Amino acid sequence: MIDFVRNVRLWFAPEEVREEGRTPDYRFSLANERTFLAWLRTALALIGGGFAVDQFLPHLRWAWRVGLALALLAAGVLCSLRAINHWVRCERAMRRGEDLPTSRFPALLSVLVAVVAVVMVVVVLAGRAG
Amino acid sequence: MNGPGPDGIGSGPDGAGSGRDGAETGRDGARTGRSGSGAGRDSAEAERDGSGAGRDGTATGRDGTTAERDGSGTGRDSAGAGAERDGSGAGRDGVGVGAGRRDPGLQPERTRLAWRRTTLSGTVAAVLAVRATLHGGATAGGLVVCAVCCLLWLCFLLIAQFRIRHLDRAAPRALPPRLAAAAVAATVALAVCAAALIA
Repeated sequence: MIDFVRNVRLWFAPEEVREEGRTPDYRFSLANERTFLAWLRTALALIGGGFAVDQFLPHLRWAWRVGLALALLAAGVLCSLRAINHWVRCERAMRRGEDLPTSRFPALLSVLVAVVAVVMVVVVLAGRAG
Repeated sequence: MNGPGPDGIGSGPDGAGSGRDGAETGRDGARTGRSGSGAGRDSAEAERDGSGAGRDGTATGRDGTTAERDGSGTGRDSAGAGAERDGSGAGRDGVGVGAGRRDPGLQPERTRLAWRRTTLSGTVAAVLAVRATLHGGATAGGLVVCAVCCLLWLCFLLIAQFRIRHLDRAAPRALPPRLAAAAVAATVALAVCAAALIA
């Protein structure tokens, strides 16, 4: 948890990142940046998905629709926070010559998206039948 | 990890499939081929991306050829000869390829395209936000939130343009954390506006 707080500080303190270790080959930094952008794209896609659930399933009950949409939006927010946190940690690891950090987040996100998708299918089919 | 360091040692490989970049330097014929997970030592084997989150991996085989696979699902590139064969560019001074010589692996260009892809996703989200506002009659509050969404979209576009302009230089520097934080803040704010529009 302390580590996370330290990382958050580094989001806004560019000079501090450069203080430690050696500057890696800029291509590694660019690759790290592309990963960061990929996570951001995932977050934006989840936000778009939240909108889509709200707009394209009008016959769903209000509670289900809003619940699913908010779940997707929350996943989007988590992805964007994960994007910058992971970017900072990787940049630091590259500077120090350490291994890149591992994380359970991708697995958790996959499970969440799968669950939401299954719930959506069930709810839509139940709505059609009932 | 250090890719091509001046001592030619590089760093320990990680077999876990985390999608790293490894660049090889040939120094006096000594092979220091270091790659991320699953990289075939005798062939230009690319790294498998297990997370689906668009990790780029560069692997270099013993003979120094490079194949890059982009796991983001938007198209696979294979750029050859991304490694510095003679070791004169990458890493001697820790800065990268020499001034005036752009990366043959087209990394700055790929990063620029990645920014463009991200603004495209942002555009889709913004269009859906506008649609959500206008659908079924627009309330005053809805219009305000919609305007905020459009402003956030514009901010994101400006951030991307600023960074892309920088990438066009000969030796681009790493992404400044403040820019990254601004992009993330715009995304989170968009999500908050979405919640306001939906509920």
